[in-house]
Amino acid sequence: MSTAWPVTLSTLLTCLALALVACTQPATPTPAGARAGETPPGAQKPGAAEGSPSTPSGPAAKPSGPAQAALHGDQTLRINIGSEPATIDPTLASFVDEAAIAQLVHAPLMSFDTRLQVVPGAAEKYTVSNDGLTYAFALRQGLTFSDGQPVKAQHYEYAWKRLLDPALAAEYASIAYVIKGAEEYNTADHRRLSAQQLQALRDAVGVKATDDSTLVFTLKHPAPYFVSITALWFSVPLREDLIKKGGERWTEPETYAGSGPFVLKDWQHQNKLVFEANPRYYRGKPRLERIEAVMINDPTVQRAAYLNGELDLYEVGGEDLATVERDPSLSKELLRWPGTCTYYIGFNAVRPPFDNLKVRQAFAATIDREAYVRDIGRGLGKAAYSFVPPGLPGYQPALKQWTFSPQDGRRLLGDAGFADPTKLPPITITYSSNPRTKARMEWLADQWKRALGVEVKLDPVETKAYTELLKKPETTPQVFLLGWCADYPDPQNWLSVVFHSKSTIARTGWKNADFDALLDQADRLPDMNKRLELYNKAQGILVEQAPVAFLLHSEHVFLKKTWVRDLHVSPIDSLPGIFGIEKTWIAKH
Amino acid sequence: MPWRDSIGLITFVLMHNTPGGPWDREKPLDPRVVENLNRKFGLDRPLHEQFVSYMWNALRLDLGPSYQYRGRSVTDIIAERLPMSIQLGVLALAVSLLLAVPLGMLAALRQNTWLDYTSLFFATIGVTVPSFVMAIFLIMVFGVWLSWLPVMATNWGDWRAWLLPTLTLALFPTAFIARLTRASMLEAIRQDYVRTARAKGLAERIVVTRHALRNALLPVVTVVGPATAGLITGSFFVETMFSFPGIGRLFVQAVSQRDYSVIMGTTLLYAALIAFANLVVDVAYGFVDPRIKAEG
Repeated sequence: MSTAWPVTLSTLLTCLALALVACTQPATPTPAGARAGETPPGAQKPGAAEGSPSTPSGPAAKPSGPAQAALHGDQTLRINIGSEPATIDPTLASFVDEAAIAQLVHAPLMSFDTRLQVVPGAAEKYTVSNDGLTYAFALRQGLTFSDGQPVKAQHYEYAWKRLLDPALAAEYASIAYVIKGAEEYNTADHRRLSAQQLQALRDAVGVKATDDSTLVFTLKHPAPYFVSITALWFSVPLREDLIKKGGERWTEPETYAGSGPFVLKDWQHQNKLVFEANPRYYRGKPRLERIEAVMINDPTVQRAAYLNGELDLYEVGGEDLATVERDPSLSKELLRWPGTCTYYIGFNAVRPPFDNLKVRQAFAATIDREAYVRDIGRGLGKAAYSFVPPGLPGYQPALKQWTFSPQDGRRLLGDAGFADPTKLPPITITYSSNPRTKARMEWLADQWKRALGVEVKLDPVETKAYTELLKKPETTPQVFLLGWCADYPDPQNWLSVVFHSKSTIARTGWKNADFDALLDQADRLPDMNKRLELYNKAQGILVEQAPVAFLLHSEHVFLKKTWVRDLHVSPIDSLPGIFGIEKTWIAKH
Repeated sequence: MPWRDSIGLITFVLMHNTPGGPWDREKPLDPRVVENLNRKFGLDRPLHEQFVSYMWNALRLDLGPSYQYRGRSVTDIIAERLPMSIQLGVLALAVSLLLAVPLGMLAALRQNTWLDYTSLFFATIGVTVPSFVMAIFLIMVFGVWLSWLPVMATNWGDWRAWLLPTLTLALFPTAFIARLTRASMLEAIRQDYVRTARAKGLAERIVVTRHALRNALLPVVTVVGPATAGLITGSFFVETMFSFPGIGRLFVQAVSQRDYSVIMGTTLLYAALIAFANLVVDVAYGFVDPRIKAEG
């Protein structure tokens, strides 16, 4: 028949074309963006009641670097930030890429080294009063903005008060509520109060530049973790004159002057941001001449660009990890290091059956976390048996109460009175509906079915609907999946901020007076070792009481071209190597 | 115009009845911060007040501030993104018409030849392959294998960055219009008046273009209106794959982020565009369909 061969041929060609495309399998385009929890600042140095200048990040002497001959002609680092940043105003920045840009262009008071210790930044030292309520920071001499204007303590005072300005409604304002007068100012209804009243509230905030190079903070109560907060991306000097001049568009290059390692040279909206080295940076002019940040939405395109040599860094997704590890050349470019997020299964501890301690423990004991990382996480991440992740102060590797044990699980369930699992009330896992989470939930449900004989129903809901459900204990699902990414690496930002009974973050409704008491103490002691002791005890209670079952600690996994050198990464990086980006350079290639 | 208000009302009601709001993030914000944000954007006012105030401002083309993009007004954002989508849509439409109409015509005239089958084959591919699959396929071919174009082509001042997105977006309309043209052309050349024209001794070319084609194009014209509207309102997939700053992606993201003002603004805009596109089609009919001209 004359029509037979064209049909066969076309079918074959179609299959070939589809197979070709399938081999370069994309992940479905997602508009999501990561929230900036990813900046765990280093914890205080043990015994740092007196600030002491530590790392030799002093005067503008260039650190001895690579020989001229080893340098590539074009010292440009090419990175991808995924999409147009919603804002790069340091006061308003709340997503990871926004914080990264703020950290490239501006210099916070303190900084972190790659071991997560808080080290001097723009401030060369700080002192704390004996009652722990007053912090005085001394700025370095010779700090300037990229346009030559000197940096003064008043610029920092302005930035902190701007963070708390109720009219701006900055998302990170609440992190500063430990400062005296901060909450009162920030929660004032600026529409109802007069200008004088607002100014009075602003003046009452405990941030003062006592002279051009001294900044004094007065806190409401002792908070040894406060120094970590002064190292975050909003604790930077801002120029009121430039902000007034630029108005809503002050973040354009003409008015976006900072004192950080790089200067924003060009912002082609929806296309890319171009940064150039700041010769006036207090740690010396960076070795890199430029950083170009493009905005490629789709992970597959990003990957193709990396393979094509158009990008120097690429964040590897779970789907790609196995392929990358098997590839002989790509595996050499793989860079993995611990992250700053922990994911967990939360239980609604105020409604049956999870109001029963033993039931929660039974469920916590019957999750094979290693298998989870291997099978669901595709090797990305590390099994979590406690909250604080590896690499951060407060991590307790020995705290592993709930290793996988179906026997223990069944025994606990029996102790709870549910030796016959069918007697349990119906249990539903509610989760944010997307293919990844669905796979995880199905896996979990299967685990509990096999280990405990419990039927768990799955209930996917739309993402925003899911977050809406979690707002109230009445609507909070019985079992839910959540994660926490720290803002700074102090254990306070983990245990107290998330699980203290006063916190609204954990959503489990679980309360424990001993746990709270330990935290209330630890949050205020000046001595880090004593604090860690108490936090460890508290974490022990948290794990034992199992209001949540910890699942996974996150990992950063990137492909980095071999010619990018001296990129020193840390768990809290918003951009890999951001703490020490002035040392990075490009080798000849 | 009452329809604009009813579309606005329906969208507003749907938006506010959907769970979740612009400040709901995976990592929860402090409730005091949320209160501040609601105050700043007037979201703590009663709903009817918000609606009336919004529509009143919209009349004066003040579509409010965006909740996602701090410091930018919705009018600004739309004014930045809409022309891009329009340009891409018009280009894609032009390409698809230029390719599809001749292709469909030829396929009809040379029915059941290899030309016909080949074009049918490609038309089927065009209709069935999803745009994001075709997008990545084109990027791999032209960017990685042939290296004719960079993989990351986001400099929209450079004409070469527009090549692949236009091709990808033109794929479905080309295929669809080609098949439509072919089908309607086949029907047209079987009409009596064509036989009459041939019998009168007219050249085949004139028979085809002056007589058959004009009538065959009627269904195509019908389709061009909605197709244009669809193309101009942007394709989320094409825009994401090419990181194209268009209004399709803006709209979808605004919905998932609950950026109320962008959602309202874009919906009203879409309604206006679609109404306009249909008007243009009606006018075009007057030129193409002699029956309408005679009556009107």
